Amino acid sequence: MIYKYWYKFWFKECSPLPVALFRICLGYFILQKSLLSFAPNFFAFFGIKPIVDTITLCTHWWRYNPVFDIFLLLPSDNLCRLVFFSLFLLFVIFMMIGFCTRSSTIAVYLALLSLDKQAPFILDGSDDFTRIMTFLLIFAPAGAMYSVDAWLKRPEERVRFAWPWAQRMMQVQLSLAYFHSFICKAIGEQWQNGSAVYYAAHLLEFQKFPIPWLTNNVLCCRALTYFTLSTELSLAILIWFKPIRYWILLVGVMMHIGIDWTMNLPYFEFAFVSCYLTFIEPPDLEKLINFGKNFLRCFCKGFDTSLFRKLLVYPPKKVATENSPANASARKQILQIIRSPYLEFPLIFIALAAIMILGAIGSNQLRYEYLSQQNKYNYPLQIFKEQVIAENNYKLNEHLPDDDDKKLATEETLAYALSTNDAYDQADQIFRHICKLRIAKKLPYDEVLVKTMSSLGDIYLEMGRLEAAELCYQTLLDYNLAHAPKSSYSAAIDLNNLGVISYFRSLVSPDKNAHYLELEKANNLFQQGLDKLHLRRSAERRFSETEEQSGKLTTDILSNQYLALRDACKLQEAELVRAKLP
Amino acid sequence: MKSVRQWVMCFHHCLISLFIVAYFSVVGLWLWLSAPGQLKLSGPLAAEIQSKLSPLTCWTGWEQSWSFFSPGVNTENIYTLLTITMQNGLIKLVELPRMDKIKFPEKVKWEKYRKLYNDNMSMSSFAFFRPDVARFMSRANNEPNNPPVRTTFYLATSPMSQPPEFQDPINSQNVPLKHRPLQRYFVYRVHPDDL
Repeated sequence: MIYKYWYKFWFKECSPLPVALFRICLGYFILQKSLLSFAPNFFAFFGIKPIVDTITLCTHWWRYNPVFDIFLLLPSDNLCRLVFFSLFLLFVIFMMIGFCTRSSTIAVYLALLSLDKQAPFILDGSDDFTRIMTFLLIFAPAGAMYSVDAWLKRPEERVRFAWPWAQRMMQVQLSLAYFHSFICKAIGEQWQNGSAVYYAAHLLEFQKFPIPWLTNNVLCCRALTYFTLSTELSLAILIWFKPIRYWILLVGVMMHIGIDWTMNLPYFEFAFVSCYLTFIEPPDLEKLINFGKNFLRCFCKGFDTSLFRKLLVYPPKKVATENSPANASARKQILQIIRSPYLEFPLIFIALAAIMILGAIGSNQLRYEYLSQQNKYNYPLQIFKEQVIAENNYKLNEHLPDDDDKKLATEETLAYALSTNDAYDQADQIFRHICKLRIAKKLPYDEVLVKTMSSLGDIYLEMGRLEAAELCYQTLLDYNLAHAPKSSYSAAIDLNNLGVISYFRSLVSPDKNAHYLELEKANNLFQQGLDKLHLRRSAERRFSETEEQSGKLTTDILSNQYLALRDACKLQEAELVRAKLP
Repeated sequence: MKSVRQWVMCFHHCLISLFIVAYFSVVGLWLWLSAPGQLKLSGPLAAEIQSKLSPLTCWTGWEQSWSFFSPGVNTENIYTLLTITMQNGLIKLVELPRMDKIKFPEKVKWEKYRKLYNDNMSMSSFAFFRPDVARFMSRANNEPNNPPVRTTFYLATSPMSQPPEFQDPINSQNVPLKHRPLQRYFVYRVHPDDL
């Protein structure tokens, strides 16, 4: 009995039309994502000097797990990686149009796996979805219809019916995804009390085309929250009941359209909705396609009403039966069995597994080299070692007088190492002690004191003690103006840093008025710094080196000023400043 | 021949069925292990299962999680802000993509950066990526005669206005802003080799 239902669900032959259409949608979606998200940032994520190094991935993310990653097998050259990416795009197009469908789907899957392994820190649900669905599509007869492969075959060779087990796997996978999503949400307090949609709609990083009259209404938000939960549960469970399936799918489409309109989640919604094609019965899909074809014909020919009458009355296609020659020899029959599209699974599985095993083995040596360097790239261990070395150096010089330059230098190194290791209080004490001793020396202009005081200001900024940091930089500014009036660079730097303090204060201000006041103050301070530099450049225009230095300094202060103006909603002034940036 | 064909078909049915059962067993267990809160499979058995499944899911790419906005949605708007201290003492502000300040067509391009900097960087499970990101940002802001010496990551938060119906009197979200300073979550000391 169980076997009967199992066989009926997974192996009862049906038309491969749904997976063929899903193949086209998935291919288009992968192409769009690759061109719009990956391509503009290719070298930052996948180049030889990416944001996150492969060694870090190897030592902290993959660790000792086997990994298939084509990037590990390629030469360490940006051009090779670019060629690989171009080939990947080509295979995606092949998959989409259905040319050498099986091989191109395998190639796309392996490439997606490699891209995802190389940049796991940028992956979201849509990336997981495409990778898994591409894997399942390998085993489906996706190239049987609406493909170049089908077009190249003779009509009697075309596959009209196949085992739908891969399509069923996609359906079950989709239901599982919705079920997991529902369960994870249902235990959350916000989803239970109906406030989740309100908060999601007010997340500024996700807003696309907000609908304030809807998302600011508490009742609407509650309704939408429970609607989302019930839709996800329906898509997990009720979708398996055929009489209501299409209504559930329609509700799902509405939910995803709503999410896509209001939230910036590129590709996510389209990917899930395209998988709904696997749930539509092939005759209904045929009707939809023919409706579309006839509609286009009507549109081109003009409004011919007789054609409209034929739209919904489309004669069903004749069921084609598989040819089975009766009197072929035994050898031919065995070959036919082996080559039958029904029986490709073991060959595909073995081929895919072999490629992935060889790929994982091939990269083992490189990975072991990376793993052997894990201590070198262990940042917490590195800074701890630096602190230990600094403490030892300090102990070696402890016998020297307190105001000895060498001893003060080792103290400063120790304080810096302590601050990097989050021991801010100790670092603060040491820096203040050094400053007191250096002030006591009463030198005409003490550059070391300036550097130490600046480091102390940085420590206070990181600790969140903005008043103390402001006092440090203000003291520095007064000191620089009093003792080195010609040094406009130092004054400009101090003014910039004071501006940064005001900017930080604006971020933690309790109310909007204080927020805008601090931003105004920050902008003024940045402008004063720029004015100092401008005077300096006018006075010493003949020194090209100083001009280059002041040019870089100007750029840095301008970029800070741009942020202050933009946050203060002075957009025109901000654009003027931005135009000056290189 | 007909019986041979039937046997072969039956054999393939079994193979495929085994594959289906294996795949959904692995995926089902993986999802159970990655469920949030009390639903998560926990204990020594869970650790044992995870240690057995991790190599397979890592190799095949079957790892997945569908817990977006689960179990709760963030009630604050966040973004990452960097300060880069240069050798001459200047502090440079670097704002990692603020999606609310970017126009719609560009949002598609910056979405992956948002995922990295705003979602993942502040999470402890991605802490080991932070030094690499700090090095990358330091290289991007390097000047030949004035290299960066220190990079600090802050999480800037701004609370959402909440209707009274959704406010939780006990929740710390209602604490005034001044008691919640800008949250520093990583400091990186830049070495000359990093540039």
